[in-house]
Amino acid sequence: MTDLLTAASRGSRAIRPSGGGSGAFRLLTPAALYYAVFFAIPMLCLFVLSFWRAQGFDLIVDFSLDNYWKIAQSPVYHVLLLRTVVIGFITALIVVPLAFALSYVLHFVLARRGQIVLQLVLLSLFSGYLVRIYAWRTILGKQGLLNSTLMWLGVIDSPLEFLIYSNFATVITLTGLLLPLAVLPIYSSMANISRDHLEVARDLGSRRAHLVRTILVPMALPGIRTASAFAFLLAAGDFVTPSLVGGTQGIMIGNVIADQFRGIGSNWPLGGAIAFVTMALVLVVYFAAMRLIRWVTTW
Amino acid sequence: MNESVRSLLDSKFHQKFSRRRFLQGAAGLATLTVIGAPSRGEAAALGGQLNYFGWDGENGANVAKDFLAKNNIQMQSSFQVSGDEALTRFNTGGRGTLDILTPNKDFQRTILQAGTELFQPLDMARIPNAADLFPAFKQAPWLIKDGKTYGVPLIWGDEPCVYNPKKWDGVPAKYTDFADPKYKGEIVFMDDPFGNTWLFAKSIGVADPSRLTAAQLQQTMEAMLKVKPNIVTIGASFADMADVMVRGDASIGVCGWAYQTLIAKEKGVELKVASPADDGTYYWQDAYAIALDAPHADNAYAFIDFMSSAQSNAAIATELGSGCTNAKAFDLLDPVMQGLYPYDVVRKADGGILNTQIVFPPQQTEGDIVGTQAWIEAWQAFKAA
Amino acid sequence: MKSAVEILGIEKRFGPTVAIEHVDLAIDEGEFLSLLGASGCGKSTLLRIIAGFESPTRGRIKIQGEDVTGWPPHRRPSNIVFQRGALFPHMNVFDNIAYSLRLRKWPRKRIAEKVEEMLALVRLEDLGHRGANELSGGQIQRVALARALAAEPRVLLLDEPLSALDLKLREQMQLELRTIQRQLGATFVFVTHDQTEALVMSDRIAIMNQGHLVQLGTPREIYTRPASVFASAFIGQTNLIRCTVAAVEGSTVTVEIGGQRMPAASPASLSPGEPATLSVRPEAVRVHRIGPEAPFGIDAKVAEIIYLGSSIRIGAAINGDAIVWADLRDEEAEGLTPGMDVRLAWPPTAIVWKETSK
Repeated sequence: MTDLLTAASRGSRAIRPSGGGSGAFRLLTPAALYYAVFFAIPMLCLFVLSFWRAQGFDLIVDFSLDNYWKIAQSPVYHVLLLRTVVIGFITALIVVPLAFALSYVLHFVLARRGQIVLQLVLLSLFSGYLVRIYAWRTILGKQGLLNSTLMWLGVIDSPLEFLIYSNFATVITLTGLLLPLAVLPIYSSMANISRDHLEVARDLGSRRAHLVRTILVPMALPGIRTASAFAFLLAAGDFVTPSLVGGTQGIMIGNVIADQFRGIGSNWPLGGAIAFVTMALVLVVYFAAMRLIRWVTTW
Repeated sequence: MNESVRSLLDSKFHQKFSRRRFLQGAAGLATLTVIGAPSRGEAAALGGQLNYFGWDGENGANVAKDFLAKNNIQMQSSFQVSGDEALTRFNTGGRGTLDILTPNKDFQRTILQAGTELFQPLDMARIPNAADLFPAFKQAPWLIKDGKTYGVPLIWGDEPCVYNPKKWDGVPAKYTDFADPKYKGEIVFMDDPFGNTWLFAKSIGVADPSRLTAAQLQQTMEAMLKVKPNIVTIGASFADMADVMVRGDASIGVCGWAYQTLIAKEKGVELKVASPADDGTYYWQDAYAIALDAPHADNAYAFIDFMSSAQSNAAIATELGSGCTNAKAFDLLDPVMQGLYPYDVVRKADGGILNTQIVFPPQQTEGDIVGTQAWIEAWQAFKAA
Repeated sequence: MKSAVEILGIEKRFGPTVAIEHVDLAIDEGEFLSLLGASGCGKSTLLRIIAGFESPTRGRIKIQGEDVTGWPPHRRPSNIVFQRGALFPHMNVFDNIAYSLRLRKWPRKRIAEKVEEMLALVRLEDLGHRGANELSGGQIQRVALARALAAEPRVLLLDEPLSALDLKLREQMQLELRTIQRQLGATFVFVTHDQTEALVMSDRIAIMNQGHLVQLGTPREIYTRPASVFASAFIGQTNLIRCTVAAVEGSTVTVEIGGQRMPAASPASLSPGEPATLSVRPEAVRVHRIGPEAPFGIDAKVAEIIYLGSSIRIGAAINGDAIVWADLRDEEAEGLTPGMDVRLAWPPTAIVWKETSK
């Protein structure tokens, strides 16, 4: 790679600083450029916007902390932020261990056949996001698959109401949506773990929980981190799922952010402010959780 | 002519609708195209592109198919998800690229009153078919500013409750009655901060439900909160709401649309519309408008004139399960369609209730009266509670 | 002497494939035993069966008198070292070695002492804090060894632990391993495909071929008295010469090679006229010039001369056909040139077998 860069910079050799030469050029790689244009810059714009004010259909360029102050004061936002973080956290708490167990089975138990099963799991990602959410309505609904089967079997007399239009439904649906995504990084990071490692550990006396905690998890940690990020951040940010299956408990902070970007009565600066507060909170929780995992897996 | 169109409409009504079509525009109704008399606007040079940004379905993909083909017009359609999205688009680079818009009456009224730039005044001489509009729509106050007309009404309807007749004989007399425990687990609301609030404000007795003080807004919210334990979920869209009822997860929908009964019918579920006897409901109307700095104004005029003809109007009203705005179109409607809406209202010249009823609050706070922001926040608090 | 490991009638099948057909073997306490064979002979499978990673289709394993067949690896008083070390990369050297001790909940102080002891044993003192992925090949294997020994196993199993190292390092490690084993007095079971390695390190060698035990003996026994053509070919270098049995007198056999006759020894019973294979090691063959002092032997013609550094290898063709190799010292080979007629002589203890014997 350095050779390529050297060749490319033949003309500007004189400019290249000695220590961070290749680092400076990395900024220009396509990925970094894409990131800057489609993410960093818009985020920056939105951040600046969050300090402005809205009046009718116009925006007033200003610098005021009014929006942030409003968020700090209004209990509605507090409730929603808390609910969002909790639901995201619970979903991740379910998704990641499931994805871990699934990856283990695919990688070590099924080995070669596991790759085919993985393709099948990923296939579900192709069937469209909304379609999959509506599929859960069919499964969990009052006259849905689950209730009908249970009633037919005589286990219950009337449909279980908590199955749909509830936080339960939100978490289950989100789990279904995010599990394939979470399996991918964990599965690929398990490539680092060879059978020899596991056999030596077993030979030395480690089993089950201890094996998972001291060997499997630490060695698959990069994948687990990514999977946790996917699960938590995507679950916390999802507002379509809760609005379709979450019922009256279903509103998360994403809904109110979206509401602020309508035409009539919209308040883009406020929307931006809520978005950034959410982002900050979610990132804090995420990093704290990563710390916790680290702590649990070392002595 | 009438007979063939009538039978076409007949066969069309008994065809299967699908939710997907509703969501994506009524594509697929291949048998229905209207071969109307050529519009007098054809004299001007037509052809090229025509940009539509409005409600899904009102772009007349089927109704205007032949017309567009004959005049060599390629229609580029994008669909809005809320009544005010056109303004957002206009202000964020859409200006100079938008031709046809479909504002509802309250939105259009608000924009015109605020003097916000969005619509251009129409040269009504280029829309001769507009002469056949019902009296209420001809000189509708919400379309006119400073003597100029800014919109041509297309369809209208109301916002009834939709219910499952197998479970209920009808709806209670007042919206606040929905708080009764017997409705527990049966109600689905529409995610609309303005409609719901208006209806409940009316229900608690406020004279002009679009103008509320902070205290009145609070009381309205409290009335709605009493109903909340009975609510199953809040539908993300009309189609979503219909879906919930079709599945049997709820049996009464508040703030709905007659079109939902047609969606349900095709799924084999019967739903009926009714409004609370004491409170009634509000009416809406959508119109065609042309954006300021529209790049293809000629095509736009021709299109609007064509769609305003009796045949076209009847066809699109039927397609969307709404009321027609052209008086002659009424005679072309199927009896079922004719009975869906209270056409007496629109036969009145002053627009009757369509005029006096305003559903949106003011944009800004006006003295005691709270504005749209307050309504949106109250609705969010309701949802979050 | 009590056996450290008893392998009793072990058979192992993987579906239709037979990995081990039948093995009976007793490993002595404090012994360094090598399982030697080519890939696929079953040596690794046998080791894994002793360790408990595979269960035998038939047979039993006893470690120090206790029947451990069916016991999982962690229960057995044996530990295994793999070819690539398999150190836990997310831990440092200390934690790797201490792994099994922490599992047993040893007190901290005792753990620290033991780890120190192990590091000293493998001569890696001061490397305790090094990350496991910052070590060189030789260091990795030493830490793997220390890790396995820390748990004080009765038997240490080593699955080709030196095969991935380069030659010089390998030879060094061979001696070190041997020293450590002696020092500890522990029983080592060592799997390898390299016969030199086996000869250097082992008290006894068990040669395996296609799921059988071919021969079990000390390095000297195996080398000088191989039990079969296979064994003799596998260990050290040898000439395998096709011949015919001419006469049999007790244990002395006379064979005919290209029309000429030589005496040989035979462990099996042969009959005159039978085709057979004669095995004679290059260093046992003497090359003499034709002349009155030439001893009894076989006439041949020098075909090739190869310089091996510490010796010269002469290839001489008998009747223009089979080539016999002889290893000579520099001065012994002086004057020999290709095409020259010579006489080959070797001791009558060269072994001959039936051609088809394994």
